[in-house]
Amino acid sequence: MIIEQEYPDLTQWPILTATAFYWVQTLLILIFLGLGIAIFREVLLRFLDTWTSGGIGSALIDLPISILSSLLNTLRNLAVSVIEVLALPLGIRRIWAIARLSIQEAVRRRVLYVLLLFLVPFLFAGWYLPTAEEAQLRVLVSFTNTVMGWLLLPMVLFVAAMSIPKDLETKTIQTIVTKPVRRLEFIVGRVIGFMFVFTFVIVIMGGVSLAFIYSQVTEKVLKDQWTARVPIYSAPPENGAYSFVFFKQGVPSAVGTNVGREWTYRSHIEGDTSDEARWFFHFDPKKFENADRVKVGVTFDIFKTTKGKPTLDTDDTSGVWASLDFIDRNNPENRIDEAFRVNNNRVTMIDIPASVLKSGDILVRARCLTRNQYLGMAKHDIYLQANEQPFEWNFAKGMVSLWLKVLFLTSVAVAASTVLNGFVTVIFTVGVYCMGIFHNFLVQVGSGQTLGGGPIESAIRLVSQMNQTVELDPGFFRTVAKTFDPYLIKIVGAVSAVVPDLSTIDTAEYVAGGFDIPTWLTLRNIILVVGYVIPVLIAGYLLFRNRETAA
Amino acid sequence: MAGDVVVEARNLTKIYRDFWGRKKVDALRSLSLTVERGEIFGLLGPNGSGKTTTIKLLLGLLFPTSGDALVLGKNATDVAKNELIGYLPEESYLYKFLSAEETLDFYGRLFNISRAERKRRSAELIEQVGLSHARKRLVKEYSKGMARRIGLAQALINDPEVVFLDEPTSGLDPIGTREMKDLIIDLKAKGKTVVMCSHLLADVQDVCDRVAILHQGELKEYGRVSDLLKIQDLTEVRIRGLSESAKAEIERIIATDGATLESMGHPTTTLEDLFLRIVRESEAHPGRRYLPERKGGSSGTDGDRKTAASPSSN
Repeated sequence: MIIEQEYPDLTQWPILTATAFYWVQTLLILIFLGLGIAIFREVLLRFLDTWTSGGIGSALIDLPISILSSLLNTLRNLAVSVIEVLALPLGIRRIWAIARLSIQEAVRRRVLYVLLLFLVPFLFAGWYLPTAEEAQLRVLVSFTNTVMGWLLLPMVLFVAAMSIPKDLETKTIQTIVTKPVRRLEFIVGRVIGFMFVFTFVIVIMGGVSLAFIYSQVTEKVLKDQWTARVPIYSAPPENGAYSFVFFKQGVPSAVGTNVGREWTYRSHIEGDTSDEARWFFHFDPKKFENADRVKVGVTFDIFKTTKGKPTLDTDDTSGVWASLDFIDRNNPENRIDEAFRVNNNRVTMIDIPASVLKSGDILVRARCLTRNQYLGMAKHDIYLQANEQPFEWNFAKGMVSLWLKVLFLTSVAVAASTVLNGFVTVIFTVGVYCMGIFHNFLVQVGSGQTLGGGPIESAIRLVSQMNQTVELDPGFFRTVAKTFDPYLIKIVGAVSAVVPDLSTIDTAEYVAGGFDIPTWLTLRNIILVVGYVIPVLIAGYLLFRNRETAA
Repeated sequence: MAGDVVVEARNLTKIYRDFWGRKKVDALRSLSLTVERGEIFGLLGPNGSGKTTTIKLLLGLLFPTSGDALVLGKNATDVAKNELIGYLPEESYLYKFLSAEETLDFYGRLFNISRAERKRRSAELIEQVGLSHARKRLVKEYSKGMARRIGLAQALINDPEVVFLDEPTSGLDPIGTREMKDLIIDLKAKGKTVVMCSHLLADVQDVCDRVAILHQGELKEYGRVSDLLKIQDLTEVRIRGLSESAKAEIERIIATDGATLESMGHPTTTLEDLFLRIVRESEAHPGRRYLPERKGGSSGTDGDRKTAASPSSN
């Protein structure tokens, strides 16, 4: 499958540090921002009050005292908050009581009827979805994921965003907070309760989706694609830095020949020359110990410079051919040579004897055999199939991504709803979610890399329908844009640092492509989201703690 | 009463502000009062006088602009105090999708009460507030009176030491009112402290030991109900079987004193009279503490009046 951006393995420390550091930083930013505003407001109000009652003189004299007392108060408050955060596990029974309440509420208010709504698209989907076997599974997986997302996320949003505002509005909160419940326990209990409900919904939706996909695919797809392959990709050999290199006329190079394709994911080698691409595989030799033959998946891109003959299965001289050399690096005698006709941009499965892989240190050399044609290849274009997992299990793992998105939305909505009203919370949460999904764009805007300038400049271009590459005409609007855009860009940059990149937690591509979702990827996603959710909830708690629960 | 202080307000001030920090209402100005263990304390005042604000400050639902609110020696915003208090809000703000039993079970869980104990206590309380017939029904189907009763039951689920009741008899019919008052007096008999606020004067007069009368956020009168209602410059004497000569003697003494005998004894006013007088005077002289017509002020308030001294703002 196509992996454009490689994620570091969890065993590598930078990601762990980065993830940990990331949420600590988020937490601190939020806390200091909040506290700063609160202190400033308090001091300012007291200053104005003293001014009106006793003149500016006494107000000025009072100012240092007021700042000091405000600061001390805040510190004391913060200390208590830290204790309450640390003491959270002690409140487990109260948390469960709140969680249970949320579950009861969802059940008795018949929130779960949304499940019936969920069935509707499936009744008619079969009419419109394509039947070509190539695309079936991909389309069905993406269809079910989309339907689940579009039904679940709004439901999550409204249930989670409206709950605390509703408690405040109906004043039920007053009978809760006068009991020995810490406000953090209340927030966490709410989130846990909702997550129980949503998990139930996800499980049901997932089950129905899986059954639907199963019922729609053809026999052939079931036989060939109803699986989750566990690939082994190339890895740098010991004392080597690269896992994948091109050789052009015997000289190693990071890229091959540029054939002018816009998408630079693959680089090409010329046919019938000495040009080649090399992959190094480094894995635990026990992996294929008991296997007799091993499947290798190969996906190359064909770039033709001549028309040639049409590709016919019956005619071996038609099409573009490639050869793969598998060489045991510890024993170069142990090698095997495979030639095959390239299936343009689609997987070709090659069967090789497991004996050639037994050292766990393998070099694969690829060449293009057909004159005047080029083959494009990338690091992840060859994999050894270590294992196969059931498709169903992989589909369930894919649901984890949806679950994490739901957890993210729930937490953000609950935390925000401690200070915002329900409607504003919904808008806020949708905003944060969208920024998370389009995080890459946000980062681009925030670092000033987007074509067409900052937000104001872009707005001017939108309205005036001006080309992105043309400079703005001198004048008032240009001055405004040039003056304020740098600040707006900085703000967008700051926001992009606080919002997580949600686009990276999507794993539907793995499920649809029939590849096992790596455990480390699931783990990384969990760390990413949970690591974000914790500070969000703590920030929500701090806001809630300093909010009056009665009017 | 020399009991220990369980609830204390020290110069409690609450100013409501709008989003921009502009003053909206001075809800409470420098309120100081103490409630002692085992008494029934009433906060009295017309609508908007600050009684509910006071209760909410004492419960930590609101944060004071300045001053301190202490309950059982702890700051009102300290969650730990909640272990020992109960609160019946103005209206029973309960989860409507729960039944009476589930409601009590839920609130019991928040106190970490064990399952068996929760079951026992909720059965007992449902019995006590007279909801046995509706224990399985959802709260949303309850009448206002029933909701009030279950509200009281949830306030007592933890067997609290201090009970805060906000308008306990609102929404109750005369029989319900009577029952509620009996329950309150019953709580006192069990050694609980009750702080209640009400604008229903008869209720307060019937059950409260001491009251604080608030108007426009200021403390106007504070003391024992019996003392407050005594008309100090009138003496009422009612004697059975007094001889004519003794009566003539008494009349003579009164005549030498330059007074006229109307009847003998201390007649009491009703709280309603007192209340209306305070409100009237307060409106005529805003910011001034109520000056009773009686001589020498109240006599039996154990010096509470000292702590209750309220600085006037003009």
